[in-house]
Amino acid sequence: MYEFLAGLFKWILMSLVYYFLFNTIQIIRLTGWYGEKLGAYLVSNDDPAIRYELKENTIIGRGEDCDIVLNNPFISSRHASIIKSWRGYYIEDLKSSNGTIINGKKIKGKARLRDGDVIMIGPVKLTYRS
Amino acid sequence: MVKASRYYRAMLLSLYLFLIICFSLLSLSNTPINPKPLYMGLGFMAIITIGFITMRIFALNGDAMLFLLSNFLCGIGLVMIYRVNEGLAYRQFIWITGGVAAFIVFTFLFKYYGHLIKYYWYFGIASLLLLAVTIIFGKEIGGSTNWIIIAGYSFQPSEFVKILFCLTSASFLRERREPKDILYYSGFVVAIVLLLFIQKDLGTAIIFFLTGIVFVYTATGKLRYPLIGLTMFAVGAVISYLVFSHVRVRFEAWLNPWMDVPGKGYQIVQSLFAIGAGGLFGSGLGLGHPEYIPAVSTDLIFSIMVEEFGLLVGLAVIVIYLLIFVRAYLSAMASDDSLKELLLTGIASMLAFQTFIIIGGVTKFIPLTGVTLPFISYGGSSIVTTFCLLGIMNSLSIEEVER
Repeated sequence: MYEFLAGLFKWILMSLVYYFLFNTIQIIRLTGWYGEKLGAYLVSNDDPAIRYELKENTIIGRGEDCDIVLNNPFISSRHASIIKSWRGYYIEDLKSSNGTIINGKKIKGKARLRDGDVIMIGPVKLTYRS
Repeated sequence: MVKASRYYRAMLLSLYLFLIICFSLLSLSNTPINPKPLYMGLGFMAIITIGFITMRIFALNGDAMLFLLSNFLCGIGLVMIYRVNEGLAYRQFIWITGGVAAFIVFTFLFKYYGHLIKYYWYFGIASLLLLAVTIIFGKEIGGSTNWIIIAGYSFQPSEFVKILFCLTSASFLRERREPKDILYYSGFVVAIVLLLFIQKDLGTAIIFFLTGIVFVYTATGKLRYPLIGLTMFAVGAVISYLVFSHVRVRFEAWLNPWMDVPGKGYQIVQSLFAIGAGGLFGSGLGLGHPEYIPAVSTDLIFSIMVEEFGLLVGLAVIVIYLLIFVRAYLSAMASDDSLKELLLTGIASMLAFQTFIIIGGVTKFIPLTGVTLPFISYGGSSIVTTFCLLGIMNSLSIEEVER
Protein backbone atom coordinates (compact mmCIF):
# COMPACT_ATOMS: atom_id res chain seq x y z
CA MET A 1 0.00 0.00 0.00
CA TYR A 2 2.72 2.48 0.99
CA GLU A 3 4.77 1.56 -2.09
CA PHE A 4 1.80 2.40 -4.28
CA LEU A 5 1.25 5.79 -2.57
CA ALA A 6 4.93 6.74 -2.71
CA GLY A 7 5.11 5.71 -6.36
CA LEU A 8 2.02 7.75 -7.17
CA PHE A 9 3.02 10.85 -5.26
CA LYS A 10 6.53 11.00 -6.67
CA TRP A 11 5.04 12.26 -9.93
CA ILE A 12 2.97 14.85 -8.10
CA LEU A 13 6.00 15.98 -6.09
CA MET A 14 8.07 16.32 -9.24
CA SER A 15 5.35 18.40 -10.90
CA LEU A 16 5.17 20.60 -7.80
CA VAL A 17 8.93 21.22 -7.89
CA TYR A 18 8.73 22.29 -11.53
CA TYR A 19 5.62 24.38 -10.87
CA PHE A 20 7.58 26.17 -8.14
CA LEU A 21 10.45 26.76 -10.59
CA PHE A 22 8.04 27.98 -13.27
CA ASN A 23 6.55 30.58 -10.91
CA THR A 24 10.04 31.70 -9.85
CA ILE A 25 10.93 32.35 -13.47
CA GLN A 26 7.63 34.16 -14.03
CA ILE A 27 8.41 36.53 -11.13
CA ILE A 28 11.91 37.16 -12.50
CA ARG A 29 10.43 37.84 -15.94
CA LEU A 30 7.89 40.28 -14.47
CA THR A 31 10.01 42.17 -11.97
CA GLY A 32 13.57 41.78 -13.18
CA TRP A 33 16.36 40.06 -11.34
CA TYR A 34 16.46 42.07 -8.16
CA GLY A 35 12.80 42.24 -7.31
CA GLU A 36 10.29 44.92 -8.07
CA LYS A 37 11.88 48.22 -8.95
CA LEU A 38 10.25 51.29 -7.54
CA GLY A 39 9.41 53.20 -10.69
CA ALA A 40 11.80 55.96 -11.74
CA TYR A 41 10.52 59.44 -12.52
CA LEU A 42 11.61 63.00 -13.26
CA VAL A 43 10.54 65.96 -11.10
CA SER A 44 10.45 69.51 -12.36
CA ASN A 45 12.63 71.80 -10.23
CA ASP A 46 10.30 74.76 -10.78
CA ASP A 47 7.18 72.95 -9.70
CA PRO A 48 7.73 69.73 -7.67
CA ALA A 49 4.14 68.74 -8.28
CA ILE A 50 4.94 67.98 -11.92
CA ARG A 51 6.22 64.42 -12.25
CA TYR A 52 7.00 62.45 -15.37
CA GLU A 53 7.04 58.66 -15.06
CA LEU A 54 9.78 57.01 -17.10
CA LYS A 55 8.94 54.22 -19.52
CA GLU A 56 11.14 51.79 -21.48
CA ASN A 57 12.07 54.58 -23.86
CA THR A 58 11.07 58.12 -22.96
CA ILE A 59 11.68 60.94 -25.46
CA ILE A 60 11.90 64.51 -24.19
CA GLY A 61 11.42 67.46 -26.54
CA ARG A 62 9.25 70.27 -27.89
CA GLY A 63 7.49 68.11 -30.50
CA GLU A 64 3.92 66.97 -29.90
CA ASP A 65 4.86 63.29 -30.38
CA CYS A 66 7.36 63.29 -27.48
CA ASP A 67 6.57 61.46 -24.25
CA ILE A 68 7.54 64.49 -22.16
CA VAL A 69 6.58 67.69 -23.98
CA LEU A 70 8.42 70.82 -22.79
CA ASN A 71 7.29 73.94 -24.59
CA ASN A 72 10.30 76.23 -24.78
CA PRO A 73 12.04 77.79 -27.79
CA PHE A 74 15.49 76.66 -26.60
CA ILE A 75 14.48 73.01 -26.67
CA SER A 76 14.78 70.95 -29.85
CA SER A 77 11.76 69.07 -31.16
CA ARG A 78 13.39 65.76 -30.18
CA HIS A 79 15.92 66.76 -27.56
CA ALA A 80 16.94 63.73 -25.49
CA SER A 81 15.79 60.23 -24.70
CA ILE A 82 15.94 58.19 -21.50
CA ILE A 83 16.35 54.49 -22.11
CA LYS A 84 15.78 51.75 -19.59
CA SER A 85 18.32 48.94 -19.51
CA TRP A 86 18.86 46.11 -17.07
CA ARG A 87 21.42 48.20 -15.26
CA GLY A 88 19.20 51.24 -14.77
CA TYR A 89 18.28 54.32 -16.78
CA TYR A 90 20.52 55.97 -19.36
CA ILE A 91 20.06 59.40 -20.93
CA GLU A 92 21.11 60.10 -24.50
CA ASP A 93 21.24 63.44 -26.24
CA LEU A 94 19.47 63.27 -29.62
CA LYS A 95 21.82 65.76 -31.34
CA SER A 96 19.91 68.73 -29.94
CA SER A 97 21.11 72.22 -30.79
CA ASN A 98 21.64 73.29 -27.17
CA GLY A 99 22.72 69.98 -25.69
CA THR A 100 21.76 68.18 -22.48
CA ILE A 101 23.50 69.05 -19.25
CA ILE A 102 23.67 66.71 -16.25
CA ASN A 103 24.87 68.11 -12.91
CA GLY A 104 26.46 71.03 -14.79
CA LYS A 105 28.27 68.86 -17.36
CA LYS A 106 27.33 68.60 -21.00
CA ILE A 107 26.97 64.94 -21.97
CA LYS A 108 28.40 63.26 -25.03
CA GLY A 109 26.63 60.09 -26.06
CA LYS A 110 25.04 58.08 -23.28
CA ALA A 111 25.23 58.73 -19.55
CA ARG A 112 23.91 56.63 -16.69
CA LEU A 113 21.48 58.39 -14.38
CA ARG A 114 21.82 58.21 -10.61
CA ASP A 115 19.25 59.20 -8.02
CA GLY A 116 19.24 62.97 -7.51
CA ASP A 117 20.91 63.89 -10.82
CA VAL A 118 19.76 67.26 -12.18
CA ILE A 119 19.06 67.11 -15.90
CA MET A 120 19.08 70.48 -17.67
CA ILE A 121 17.29 70.49 -20.99
CA GLY A 122 17.56 73.98 -22.46
CA PRO A 123 16.54 76.20 -19.55
CA VAL A 124 14.32 73.55 -17.90
CA LYS A 125 15.72 71.70 -14.90
CA LEU A 126 14.45 68.22 -14.03
CA THR A 127 15.61 65.99 -11.16
CA TYR A 128 15.89 62.23 -11.69
CA ARG A 129 14.46 60.11 -8.87
CA SER A 130 14.47 56.36 -8.60
CA MET B 1 3.02 44.49 -7.94
CA VAL B 2 -0.36 42.81 -8.28
CA LYS B 3 0.79 40.43 -11.00
CA ALA B 4 3.90 39.37 -9.12
CA SER B 5 1.85 38.74 -5.98
CA ARG B 6 -0.11 36.12 -7.86
CA TYR B 7 3.05 34.21 -8.74
CA TYR B 8 4.40 34.61 -5.21
CA ARG B 9 1.20 33.03 -3.89
CA ALA B 10 1.56 30.19 -6.38
CA MET B 11 5.17 29.64 -5.27
CA LEU B 12 4.14 29.56 -1.63
CA LEU B 13 1.23 27.23 -2.36
CA SER B 14 3.39 24.74 -4.27
CA LEU B 15 5.93 24.81 -1.44
CA TYR B 16 3.18 24.12 1.14
CA LEU B 17 1.74 21.27 -0.94
CA PHE B 18 5.19 19.77 -1.46
CA LEU B 19 5.89 19.80 2.28
CA ILE B 20 2.45 18.46 3.24
CA ILE B 21 2.66 15.56 0.78
CA CYS B 22 6.22 14.68 1.83
CA PHE B 23 5.55 14.77 5.56
CA SER B 24 2.24 12.88 5.17
CA LEU B 25 4.07 10.17 3.28
CA LEU B 26 6.64 10.03 6.07
CA SER B 27 3.79 9.66 8.59
CA LEU B 28 2.23 6.85 6.60
CA SER B 29 5.49 4.99 6.07
CA ASN B 30 5.50 3.63 9.63
CA THR B 31 2.94 1.17 10.92
CA PRO B 32 1.23 2.25 13.16
CA ILE B 33 0.84 5.68 11.60
CA ASN B 34 3.11 8.22 13.26
CA PRO B 35 1.77 11.82 13.32
CA LYS B 36 5.08 13.40 14.41
CA PRO B 37 6.38 14.19 10.89
CA LEU B 38 3.17 16.08 10.12
CA TYR B 39 3.64 18.25 13.20
CA MET B 40 7.14 19.06 12.03
CA GLY B 41 5.88 19.88 8.55
CA LEU B 42 3.24 22.22 9.96
CA GLY B 43 5.84 23.86 12.19
CA PHE B 44 8.15 24.42 9.24
CA MET B 45 5.27 25.86 7.21
CA ALA B 46 4.56 28.29 10.06
CA ILE B 47 8.19 29.46 9.94
CA ILE B 48 7.98 29.95 6.18
CA THR B 49 4.72 31.90 6.54
CA ILE B 50 6.14 34.22 9.20
CA GLY B 51 9.30 34.85 7.18
CA PHE B 52 7.40 35.36 3.94
CA ILE B 53 4.99 37.90 5.47
CA THR B 54 7.91 39.73 7.10
CA MET B 55 9.77 39.97 3.79
CA ARG B 56 6.72 40.97 1.74
CA ILE B 57 5.63 43.71 4.15
CA PHE B 58 8.84 45.11 5.60
CA ALA B 59 11.42 44.56 2.85
CA LEU B 60 11.33 47.67 0.74
CA ASN B 61 10.11 46.17 -2.53
CA GLY B 62 8.48 43.07 -1.09
CA ASP B 63 11.31 40.89 -2.34
CA ALA B 64 10.77 37.40 -0.92
CA MET B 65 12.49 35.55 -3.74
CA LEU B 66 15.72 34.60 -1.96
CA PHE B 67 13.75 33.64 1.14
CA LEU B 68 11.43 31.29 -0.76
CA LEU B 69 14.21 29.70 -2.83
CA SER B 70 16.38 29.02 0.21
CA ASN B 71 13.45 27.67 2.21
CA PHE B 72 12.51 25.34 -0.60
CA LEU B 73 16.01 23.88 -0.37
CA CYS B 74 15.73 23.70 3.43
CA GLY B 75 12.35 21.98 3.13
CA ILE B 76 13.57 19.28 0.77
CA GLY B 77 16.60 18.83 3.03
CA LEU B 78 14.47 18.53 6.16
CA VAL B 79 12.30 15.88 4.48
CA MET B 80 15.35 13.86 3.48
CA ILE B 81 16.96 14.17 6.93
CA TYR B 82 13.71 13.08 8.60
CA ARG B 83 13.53 10.11 6.28
CA VAL B 84 17.15 9.15 7.03
CA ASN B 85 17.44 9.93 10.73
CA GLU B 86 14.50 11.14 12.79
CA GLY B 87 16.58 12.38 15.72
CA LEU B 88 18.73 14.65 13.56
CA ALA B 89 15.64 16.16 11.91
CA TYR B 90 14.40 17.66 15.20
CA ARG B 91 17.75 19.38 15.71
CA GLN B 92 17.85 20.49 12.07
CA PHE B 93 14.40 22.01 12.57
CA ILE B 94 15.76 24.13 15.44
CA TRP B 95 18.78 25.16 13.33
CA ILE B 96 16.53 26.20 10.44
CA THR B 97 14.42 28.31 12.82
CA GLY B 98 17.59 29.98 14.06
CA GLY B 99 18.82 30.38 10.49
CA VAL B 100 15.62 32.07 9.31
CA ALA B 101 15.80 34.42 12.31
CA ALA B 102 19.43 35.22 11.41
CA PHE B 103 18.39 35.79 7.79
CA ILE B 104 15.72 38.33 8.81
CA VAL B 105 18.06 40.08 11.26
CA PHE B 106 20.86 40.38 8.68
CA THR B 107 18.44 41.50 5.95
CA PHE B 108 17.18 44.44 7.98
CA LEU B 109 20.24 45.35 10.04
CA PHE B 110 23.11 44.82 7.63
CA LYS B 111 22.50 48.20 5.95
CA TYR B 112 24.28 49.77 8.90
CA TYR B 113 27.42 47.89 7.95
CA GLY B 114 29.30 51.16 7.55
CA HIS B 115 29.95 51.17 11.29
CA LEU B 116 30.88 47.52 11.34
CA ILE B 117 33.48 47.23 8.62
CA LYS B 118 35.84 49.75 10.23
CA TYR B 119 36.85 46.88 12.51
CA TYR B 120 37.79 44.50 9.67
CA TRP B 121 41.28 44.22 11.14
CA TYR B 122 39.79 42.53 14.20
CA PHE B 123 37.64 40.24 12.05
CA GLY B 124 40.72 39.00 10.23
CA ILE B 125 42.58 38.30 13.47
CA ALA B 126 39.47 36.67 14.95
CA SER B 127 39.13 34.30 12.01
CA LEU B 128 42.78 33.22 12.25
CA LEU B 129 42.45 32.77 16.02
CA LEU B 130 39.27 30.72 15.70
CA LEU B 131 40.99 28.34 13.28
CA ALA B 132 44.12 28.14 15.43
CA VAL B 133 42.04 27.36 18.52
CA THR B 134 40.31 24.59 16.57
CA ILE B 135 43.65 22.95 15.86
CA ILE B 136 44.56 22.99 19.57
CA PHE B 137 41.22 22.06 21.16
CA GLY B 138 39.52 20.45 18.18
CA LYS B 139 37.92 17.03 18.21
CA GLU B 140 38.19 14.71 15.28
CA ILE B 141 34.82 13.76 13.81
CA GLY B 142 34.61 12.04 10.45
CA GLY B 143 38.27 12.36 9.54
CA SER B 144 38.69 16.11 10.06
CA THR B 145 39.78 17.85 13.24
CA ASN B 146 37.48 20.80 12.69
CA TRP B 147 35.04 20.53 15.57
CA ILE B 148 35.00 22.32 18.92
CA ILE B 149 32.84 20.87 21.67
CA ILE B 150 31.67 23.23 24.41
CA ALA B 151 29.32 21.89 27.09
CA GLY B 152 28.09 19.08 24.90
CA TYR B 153 27.37 21.28 21.88
CA SER B 154 29.68 20.75 18.94
CA PHE B 155 30.20 23.35 16.25
CA GLN B 156 32.51 23.99 13.32
CA PRO B 157 34.42 27.29 13.67
CA SER B 158 35.42 27.14 10.00
CA GLU B 159 31.78 27.84 9.10
CA PHE B 160 31.66 31.07 11.09
CA VAL B 161 35.04 32.06 9.70
CA LYS B 162 33.31 32.22 6.30
CA ILE B 163 31.32 35.30 7.38
CA LEU B 164 34.36 36.97 8.94
CA PHE B 165 36.47 36.14 5.88
CA CYS B 166 34.00 37.73 3.46
CA LEU B 167 33.67 40.90 5.56
CA THR B 168 37.44 41.20 6.05
CA SER B 169 38.29 40.62 2.40
CA ALA B 170 35.70 43.04 1.06
CA SER B 171 36.60 45.86 3.43
CA PHE B 172 40.36 45.35 3.00
CA LEU B 173 40.29 45.23 -0.80
CA ARG B 174 37.84 48.12 -1.11
CA GLU B 175 40.53 50.77 -1.00
CA ARG B 176 43.77 48.82 -1.18
CA ARG B 177 44.42 47.46 -4.63
CA GLU B 178 48.15 47.98 -5.09
CA PRO B 179 50.32 44.88 -5.74
CA LYS B 180 51.77 45.27 -2.23
CA ASP B 181 48.31 45.10 -0.63
CA ILE B 182 47.38 42.09 -2.76
CA LEU B 183 50.51 40.42 -1.38
CA TYR B 184 49.38 41.09 2.21
CA TYR B 185 45.92 39.79 1.34
CA SER B 186 47.33 36.60 -0.22
CA GLY B 187 49.30 36.07 2.98
CA PHE B 188 46.03 36.19 4.92
CA VAL B 189 44.31 33.75 2.54
CA VAL B 190 47.24 31.34 2.53
CA ALA B 191 47.36 31.41 6.35
CA ILE B 192 43.67 30.47 6.52
CA VAL B 193 44.08 27.76 3.89
CA LEU B 194 47.08 26.27 5.69
CA LEU B 195 45.27 26.27 9.04
CA LEU B 196 42.37 24.42 7.42
CA PHE B 197 44.76 22.06 5.69
CA ILE B 198 46.33 21.11 9.01
CA GLN B 199 42.83 20.21 10.21
CA LYS B 200 42.53 17.93 7.13
CA ASP B 201 39.49 19.95 6.04
CA LEU B 202 40.41 19.92 2.35
CA GLY B 203 37.06 20.96 0.89
CA THR B 204 36.75 24.07 3.04
CA ALA B 205 40.40 24.98 2.34
CA ILE B 206 39.72 24.85 -1.41
CA ILE B 207 36.58 26.99 -0.97
CA PHE B 208 38.53 29.69 0.87
CA PHE B 209 41.38 29.65 -1.65
CA LEU B 210 39.11 29.98 -4.70
CA THR B 211 37.00 32.66 -3.01
CA GLY B 212 40.19 34.58 -2.24
CA ILE B 213 41.11 34.48 -5.95
CA VAL B 214 37.63 35.73 -6.88
CA PHE B 215 37.93 38.58 -4.36
CA VAL B 216 41.29 39.69 -5.78
CA TYR B 217 40.07 39.48 -9.37
CA THR B 218 36.89 41.44 -8.59
CA ALA B 219 38.92 44.13 -6.82
CA THR B 220 41.68 44.56 -9.38
CA GLY B 221 40.20 43.28 -12.64
CA LYS B 222 43.66 42.07 -13.69
CA LEU B 223 43.89 38.59 -15.16
CA ARG B 224 47.38 37.94 -13.85
CA TYR B 225 46.26 37.47 -10.23
CA PRO B 226 43.85 34.58 -10.90
CA LEU B 227 46.46 33.02 -13.20
CA ILE B 228 49.11 33.18 -10.44
CA GLY B 229 46.53 31.87 -7.94
CA LEU B 230 45.50 28.94 -10.10
CA THR B 231 49.14 28.06 -10.77
CA MET B 232 49.76 28.10 -7.01
CA PHE B 233 46.67 25.93 -6.60
CA ALA B 234 47.95 23.39 -9.13
CA VAL B 235 51.43 23.32 -7.59
CA GLY B 236 49.94 22.96 -4.10
CA ALA B 237 47.68 20.15 -5.28
CA VAL B 238 50.59 18.23 -6.82
CA ILE B 239 52.79 18.70 -3.73
CA SER B 240 50.03 17.63 -1.32
CA TYR B 241 49.28 14.64 -3.56
CA LEU B 242 52.89 13.54 -3.26
CA VAL B 243 53.33 14.32 0.45
CA PHE B 244 50.01 13.64 2.22
CA SER B 245 48.42 10.23 2.18
CA HIS B 246 44.85 11.44 2.82
CA VAL B 247 44.99 13.62 -0.31
CA ARG B 248 46.30 10.69 -2.35
CA VAL B 249 43.49 8.44 -1.07
CA ARG B 250 40.83 10.96 -2.17
CA PHE B 251 42.41 11.40 -5.55
CA GLU B 252 42.83 7.69 -6.25
CA ALA B 253 39.26 7.01 -5.13
CA TRP B 254 38.14 9.58 -7.66
CA LEU B 255 40.24 8.21 -10.55
CA ASN B 256 39.12 4.64 -10.08
CA PRO B 257 36.66 3.99 -7.25
CA TRP B 258 36.02 0.44 -8.49
CA MET B 259 39.54 -0.62 -7.57
CA ASP B 260 38.76 -0.74 -3.84
CA VAL B 261 35.00 -0.70 -3.42
CA PRO B 262 34.71 -1.71 0.27
CA GLY B 263 37.62 0.54 1.26
CA LYS B 264 38.79 3.77 -0.34
CA GLY B 265 36.10 4.02 -2.99
CA TYR B 266 33.20 3.10 -0.70
CA GLN B 267 31.61 6.57 -0.37
CA ILE B 268 31.77 7.47 -4.02
CA VAL B 269 30.67 4.02 -5.23
CA GLN B 270 27.63 3.96 -2.92
CA SER B 271 26.76 7.49 -4.01
CA LEU B 272 26.94 6.52 -7.68
CA PHE B 273 24.87 3.37 -7.08
CA ALA B 274 22.21 5.45 -5.32
CA ILE B 275 22.05 8.05 -8.11
CA GLY B 276 21.88 5.29 -10.69
CA ALA B 277 19.21 3.35 -8.80
CA GLY B 278 16.98 6.41 -8.68
CA GLY B 279 17.05 7.07 -12.40
CA LEU B 280 15.27 10.03 -13.96
CA PHE B 281 12.11 9.83 -11.88
CA GLY B 282 13.33 8.41 -8.58
CA SER B 283 12.21 5.45 -6.52
CA GLY B 284 9.65 7.36 -4.47
CA LEU B 285 10.02 8.86 -1.01
CA GLY B 286 10.90 6.21 1.56
CA LEU B 287 11.67 3.51 -0.99
CA GLY B 288 15.38 4.17 -1.48
CA HIS B 289 18.24 2.61 0.43
CA PRO B 290 19.97 5.29 2.51
CA GLU B 291 21.36 2.63 4.85
CA TYR B 292 24.03 1.79 2.26
CA ILE B 293 25.28 5.38 1.88
CA PRO B 294 27.83 6.70 4.40
CA ALA B 295 27.47 10.25 5.82
CA VAL B 296 24.03 10.31 4.23
CA SER B 297 22.52 13.16 6.25
CA THR B 298 25.44 15.54 5.76
CA ASP B 299 27.82 15.27 2.83
CA LEU B 300 26.12 12.71 0.62
CA ILE B 301 22.56 13.96 1.06
CA PHE B 302 22.40 14.90 -2.62
CA SER B 303 22.75 11.22 -3.60
CA ILE B 304 19.83 10.00 -1.51
CA MET B 305 17.75 12.98 -2.65
CA VAL B 306 18.38 12.06 -6.29
CA GLU B 307 17.67 8.39 -5.55
CA GLU B 308 14.27 9.03 -3.97
CA PHE B 309 13.04 12.10 -5.87
CA GLY B 310 14.75 11.43 -9.18
CA LEU B 311 17.41 13.12 -11.28
CA LEU B 312 14.89 15.66 -12.62
CA VAL B 313 14.31 17.02 -9.10
CA GLY B 314 18.08 17.01 -8.55
CA LEU B 315 18.46 19.17 -11.66
CA ALA B 316 15.70 21.49 -10.43
CA VAL B 317 17.59 21.89 -7.14
CA ILE B 318 20.75 22.83 -9.07
CA VAL B 319 18.74 25.37 -11.09
CA ILE B 320 17.46 26.90 -7.83
CA TYR B 321 21.05 27.27 -6.60
CA LEU B 322 21.97 28.88 -9.92
CA LEU B 323 19.09 31.35 -9.65
CA ILE B 324 20.31 32.45 -6.21
CA PHE B 325 23.90 32.94 -7.41
CA VAL B 326 23.14 34.57 -10.77
CA ARG B 327 20.90 37.02 -9.00
CA ALA B 328 23.71 38.02 -6.65
CA TYR B 329 26.18 38.42 -9.54
CA LEU B 330 23.75 40.57 -11.51
CA SER B 331 23.11 42.89 -8.58
CA ALA B 332 26.87 43.10 -8.01
CA MET B 333 27.34 44.19 -11.62
CA ALA B 334 24.57 46.77 -11.39
CA SER B 335 26.01 48.24 -8.21
CA ASP B 336 28.40 51.19 -8.29
CA ASP B 337 29.70 50.80 -4.74
CA SER B 338 32.89 48.77 -4.70
CA LEU B 339 32.31 47.32 -1.21
CA LYS B 340 28.91 46.03 -2.27
CA GLU B 341 30.30 44.56 -5.49
CA LEU B 342 33.03 42.76 -3.58
CA LEU B 343 30.74 41.43 -0.86
CA LEU B 344 28.05 40.21 -3.26
CA THR B 345 30.50 38.53 -5.64
CA GLY B 346 32.54 37.02 -2.83
CA ILE B 347 29.60 35.61 -0.88
CA ALA B 348 27.89 34.23 -3.98
CA SER B 349 31.16 32.66 -5.14
CA MET B 350 31.80 31.14 -1.74
CA LEU B 351 28.39 29.43 -1.67
CA ALA B 352 28.68 28.50 -5.35
CA PHE B 353 32.08 26.84 -4.87
CA GLN B 354 30.74 24.95 -1.86
CA THR B 355 27.75 23.69 -3.85
CA PHE B 356 29.92 22.79 -6.83
CA ILE B 357 32.52 20.97 -4.76
CA ILE B 358 30.03 18.69 -3.03
CA ILE B 359 27.64 18.07 -5.93
CA GLY B 360 30.62 17.54 -8.23
CA GLY B 361 32.11 15.26 -5.59
CA VAL B 362 29.14 12.95 -5.14
CA THR B 363 28.65 12.64 -8.90
CA LYS B 364 32.37 11.84 -9.42
CA PHE B 365 32.95 14.96 -11.50
CA ILE B 366 35.77 16.12 -9.21
CA PRO B 367 37.45 14.32 -6.25
CA LEU B 368 35.06 14.00 -3.30
CA THR B 369 35.90 16.21 -0.33
CA GLY B 370 33.54 16.48 2.58
CA VAL B 371 31.77 19.83 2.74
CA THR B 372 28.11 20.43 3.49
CA LEU B 373 25.60 21.17 0.75
CA PRO B 374 24.33 24.68 1.62
CA PHE B 375 20.76 24.74 3.06
CA ILE B 376 20.14 21.01 2.47
CA SER B 377 22.72 19.13 4.54
CA TYR B 378 22.31 18.53 8.25
CA GLY B 379 24.56 20.81 10.30
CA GLY B 380 23.85 23.59 12.74
CA SER B 381 26.86 25.82 12.05
CA SER B 382 26.46 25.33 8.32
CA ILE B 383 22.76 26.23 8.19
CA VAL B 384 23.09 29.32 10.39
CA THR B 385 26.18 30.57 8.50
CA THR B 386 24.61 30.07 5.10
CA PHE B 387 21.49 31.94 6.18
CA CYS B 388 23.65 34.79 7.56
CA LEU B 389 25.50 35.04 4.24
CA LEU B 390 22.22 34.93 2.34
CA GLY B 391 20.83 37.67 4.60
CA ILE B 392 23.83 39.88 3.77
CA MET B 393 23.25 39.22 0.06
CA ASN B 394 19.56 40.00 0.38
CA SER B 395 20.22 43.20 2.31
CA LEU B 396 22.71 44.44 -0.28
CA SER B 397 20.48 43.68 -3.26
CA ILE B 398 17.47 45.31 -1.58
CA GLU B 399 19.57 48.41 -0.97
CA GLU B 400 20.49 48.39 -4.66
CA VAL B 401 16.79 48.69 -5.55
CA GLU B 402 16.22 51.40 -2.94
CA ARG B 403 18.55 53.91 -4.55
